[in-house]
Amino acid sequence: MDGRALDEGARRSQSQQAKNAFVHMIAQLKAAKSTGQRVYLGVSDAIAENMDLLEELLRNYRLADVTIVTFSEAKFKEVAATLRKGLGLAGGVATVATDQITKDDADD
Amino acid sequence: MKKLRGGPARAQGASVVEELERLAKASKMPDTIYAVARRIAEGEDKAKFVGALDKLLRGAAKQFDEEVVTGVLRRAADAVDPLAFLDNVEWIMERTGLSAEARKALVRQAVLRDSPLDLRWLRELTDLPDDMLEYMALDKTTNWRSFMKVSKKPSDYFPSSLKKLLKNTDYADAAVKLRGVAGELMFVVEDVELPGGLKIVARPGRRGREGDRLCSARCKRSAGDARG
Repeated sequence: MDGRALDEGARRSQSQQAKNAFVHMIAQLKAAKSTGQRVYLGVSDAIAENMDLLEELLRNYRLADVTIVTFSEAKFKEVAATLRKGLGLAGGVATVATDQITKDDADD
Repeated sequence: MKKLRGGPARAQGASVVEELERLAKASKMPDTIYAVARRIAEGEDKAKFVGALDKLLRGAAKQFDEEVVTGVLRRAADAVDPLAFLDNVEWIMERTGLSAEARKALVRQAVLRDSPLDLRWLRELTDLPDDMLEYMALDKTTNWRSFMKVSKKPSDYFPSSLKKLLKNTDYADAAVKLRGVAGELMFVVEDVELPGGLKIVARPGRRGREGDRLCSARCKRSAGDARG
């Protein structure tokens, strides 16, 4: 397999993980909505440029009434770093980005 | 711990026995009392152990449910160093900067969970700010095991020798959990405002029909109504 094929494989794998994470998020939002309570979705400001797309997708899945709460990615990283240092965690425990969470991982 | 002799030592022993007799009615307590008595009899420093038990039963134990007292005594009886274990319980209960509820919750997590929190690790090898520890203590779903497992600093449950056996999935698991805790802490510690004055109060353990979490956090308004 040449380098280009490997890059393409990695890109597809990442894309599939992102799809899985999105499907999982939609399932969680629908489950939360089914309780009859108001539903809030916390979203990092790192995806600000894709916010319109997110709102459109939520509308497509009949989740337009979900309230999006934006939080600062910089603050999030700061808190995560303090937490990681405080718990004495190894370097391998990096803060994962949203698209790195697969369906199996994302139960917490 | 001051070592008593003669009359005062006998009085201290009698006080411990009296307190244990009072507790004996609680479920699982007879087994625990037997384990403690055996440990006193077999231990090298009986007087110091009795002294530590006396301090616990007269002080911190008054704040615990009977279930937690049973757990503390049981863990002390089984510990390699029961004096150190009881000292760590006293340390938590005397720690300033945490609410009484958070202190009690940490002891509960150290003695009643199947995968318990190692108080020695928490005391000597971590350095969490009070507000973060408070939140993690009060959250019943905080999975200390995942963090102890991958911590650079070994705990009694995950000594250095076991670190070599860790897999990438252990680190990934801790990373995901860290992300979840950090995401919620940001709203609590940094006081980022949620809409409508909502506050995060807990992460739920219950699951929806398809096994999915109903939501990542439970919130409530100051009026007290819950929101997912």
